[in-house]
Amino acid sequence: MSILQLAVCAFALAMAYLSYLGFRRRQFRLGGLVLWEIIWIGLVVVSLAPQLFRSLTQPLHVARLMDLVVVLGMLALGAITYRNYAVVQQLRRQLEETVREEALSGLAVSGGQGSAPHPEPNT
Amino acid sequence: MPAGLLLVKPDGTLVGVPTSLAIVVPAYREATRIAGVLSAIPNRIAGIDACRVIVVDDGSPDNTSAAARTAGATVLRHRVNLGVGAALRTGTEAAIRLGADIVVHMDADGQHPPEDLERLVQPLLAGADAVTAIRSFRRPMPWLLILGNRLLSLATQALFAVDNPDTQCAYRAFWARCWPSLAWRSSDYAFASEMLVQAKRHGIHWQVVPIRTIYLDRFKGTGVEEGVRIFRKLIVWRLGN
Repeated sequence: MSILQLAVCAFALAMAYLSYLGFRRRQFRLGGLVLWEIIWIGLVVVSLAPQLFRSLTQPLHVARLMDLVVVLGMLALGAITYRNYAVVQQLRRQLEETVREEALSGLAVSGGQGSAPHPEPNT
Repeated sequence: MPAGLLLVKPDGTLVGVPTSLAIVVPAYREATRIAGVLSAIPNRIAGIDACRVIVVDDGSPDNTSAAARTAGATVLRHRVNLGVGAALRTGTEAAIRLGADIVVHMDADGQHPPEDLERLVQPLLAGADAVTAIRSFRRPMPWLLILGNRLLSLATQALFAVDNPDTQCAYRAFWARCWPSLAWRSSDYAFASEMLVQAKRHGIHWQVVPIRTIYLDRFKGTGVEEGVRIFRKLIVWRLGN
């Protein structure tokens, strides 16, 4: 076993544990935990037993298994980045609407804090 | 112009002389300057019966709200900082809910001379839909901002045929009835460009009024990052049309 294999295994196991902690802290639901555990355990399996997946390289016209892993990793990163972008934009919009509505509701209740017109009305 | 008269609009309709004006001031970390700005707003504006100042504190961690309230303004507060575009949206909607006929946007840091307020409003009373101030691109404006403002104004003209030499100057006044045609979605500095683009699409004509160029803070306003973002948005709006 090479140092790289060991490093990948250690990384994947640490991430699997962090995913479990995230689930226990209710940062995501069971479905999320299952998804992430499959990914991390899959990484461990690929790292420890690459020969199991060598049969995939030829039909996909990939020279080495490592290339396949890198390509799949980049695709996954792209998908995750897009997903994060969409969620952040949605949350930003919701936050903005909530904060603005809250500010305007203060106007409806009290006419604004310190609601005296300024400067004095022209007469 | 005395109150109680009727104006004949260019389309032949009669409208009452404006009675109410609201000055919307977005403010972030302006506790030290906002009182001075508010106190410099003229007490009387010809042709205006009533004037109200609405300060939108955009999540300032300092005492901006308290300072504005002490100065007599109506204060709305965003719990978190959303950006100048969002603050002006909140303030404009508040102004219209309070029955303003004319809405004015003015910066809280003193870059928009309050003494020019009347010059900004008078073209509206003479029949204009909306009025925007323009600055001269010379010192004390930092050279990088001169370049950025020129490029953004040129890009806006090239993409949307908006004839405005200073698209980033947000010292503006418009009739409240124009709000649906001007409403922007940008929460950041891009709102100034979006407002002009929306107006162009809805046939709202801007009259321009030159004002003095005042720069008190080199680190506030539209920087390089914001400039690039605004340019990207201009492209997106053009493609989305």
